Amino acid sequence: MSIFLQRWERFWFAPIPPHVYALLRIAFGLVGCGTLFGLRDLPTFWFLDGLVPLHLGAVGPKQYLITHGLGHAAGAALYVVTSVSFVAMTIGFQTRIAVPAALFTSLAQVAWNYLPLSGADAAMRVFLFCLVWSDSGSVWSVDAWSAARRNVAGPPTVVERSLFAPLRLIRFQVALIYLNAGMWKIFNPYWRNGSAVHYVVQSNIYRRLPHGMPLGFDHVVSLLTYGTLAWELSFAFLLLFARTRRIALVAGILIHLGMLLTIEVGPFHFIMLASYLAFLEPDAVPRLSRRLLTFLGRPPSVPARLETAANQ
Amino acid sequence: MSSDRWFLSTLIAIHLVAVSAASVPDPRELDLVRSAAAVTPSDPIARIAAPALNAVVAALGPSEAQAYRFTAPIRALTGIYVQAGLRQKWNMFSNPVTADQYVRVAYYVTSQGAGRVRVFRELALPGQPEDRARLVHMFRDKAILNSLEALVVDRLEHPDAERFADLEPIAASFGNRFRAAYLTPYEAITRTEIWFGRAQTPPTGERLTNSHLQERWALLQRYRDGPVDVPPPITPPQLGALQGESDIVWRLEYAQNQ
Repeated sequence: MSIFLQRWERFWFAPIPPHVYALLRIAFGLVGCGTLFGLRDLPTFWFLDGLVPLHLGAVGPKQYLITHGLGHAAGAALYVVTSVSFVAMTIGFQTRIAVPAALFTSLAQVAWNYLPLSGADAAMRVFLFCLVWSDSGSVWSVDAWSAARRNVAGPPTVVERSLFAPLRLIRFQVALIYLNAGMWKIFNPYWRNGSAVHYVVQSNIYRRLPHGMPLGFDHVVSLLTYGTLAWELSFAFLLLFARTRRIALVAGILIHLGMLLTIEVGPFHFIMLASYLAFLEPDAVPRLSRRLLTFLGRPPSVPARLETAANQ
Repeated sequence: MSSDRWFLSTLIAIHLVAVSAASVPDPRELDLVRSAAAVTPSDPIARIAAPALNAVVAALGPSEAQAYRFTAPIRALTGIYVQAGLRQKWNMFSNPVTADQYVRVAYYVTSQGAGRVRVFRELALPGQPEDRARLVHMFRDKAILNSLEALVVDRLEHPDAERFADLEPIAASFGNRFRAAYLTPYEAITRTEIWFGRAQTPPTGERLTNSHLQERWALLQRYRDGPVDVPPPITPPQLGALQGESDIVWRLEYAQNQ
């Protein structure tokens, strides 16, 4: 029992450098900002006489605002607050408030108008829920930069480590998304007979190019159908071992990039590719950033041995 | 382990159990995916893989339903937590649509003092021309598709209902834009119709000919160039009415008299 507890504690509570959380914060923030830029048409997506469900007879804050003639103002205010939250999260300004605010406003957006939202937004919310519990603003943020400026003794020499738990939860969530998606697909006859990808890439709603996939590529499309199904169903299990984890992630990157080139489904591929950053070895992220800075001719100001010092 | 970590461990365990239970697909919803018209495999890879996968699904089906029943108490306990933003339904592309999809809005317009009714049609979906590469995401298209999906779900859940409000946002939004752009203060929209169009996608191994596509795109381009003035019908069509244009079959899904 004690061995199990030790392993459990190490698995969830091992201290890790916070850089991977900062990286996720920036990546998710950029995807969120991009989505909000796409939703900038306030009269269409945020005002009540636009593409917004009214659910007449409903109760709650939305109904109260409608009844009191505050619908347009509330929609515009929600857009501004959501945008400010995501921008603040991306740059790491007041991060401890910005990340929960981004999550909260994303939830409010669903209640206000779920119509233009997709699986990408649902994925954003579940990832933000995990990120909220991490300290993602202690490095690579305006907060860290301003704290260093305030410190008369110079930049801090030790960066506090964070818990592994939020990162593990994000990884678990990514695996669950693919397993669930694979489960849904395998029950559909078009996925089982190899033609599902054909119908997706030919669809006038999703295809990027006017004619979809050329006729000679139908065998490739069949392989892609089965490949996607196999990869989604096995992703969670491939993550269990270091060697197969790399295969799953590389396949994932290739599949998402391939889909990005052939079909247009909004920010979904970007949010999933951003979530792959959670699978980086946490200790490797500050190392990689130092190497990158050195390569760019800007050696890091904080000594390497101090930056990753544990604070347990 | 410290008491703090015991507490955190409990929360983590609850979270994992809750999201895992929430991710088990509802067999009733799976039936919608399952019931897609069965088609025979056409290529050599599919001829081998399809029977194997069919056997897997035949074995998996009852277990999936059992897993859903078994986890029902967990979902009941953790429902509020999951509904607060952790919904786990990742069924994108699980039931690929086998047709090109279109939405057309028709407005019946009358002028003050004149008894004549004019009918204008415009294309609402897709928002971008199909004869060009699509580089940007159209959130408007997604909103229209989600409205249509909500209508399908509502019809299944309330088969006896006569009227559904799911397409009202489309009617309101497009109606307002049309009114602002084209009508004078002396004109009014007296009826709005929303037609859903489908043009069947050929199966694997087949494609539409270029001339076929050009004909359809030319028709759609007329609607894109601005609302098209069409002769009014003798009597307005009923919900469920069908119309054909090129290879598109339109079905009237929403009609509202103002």
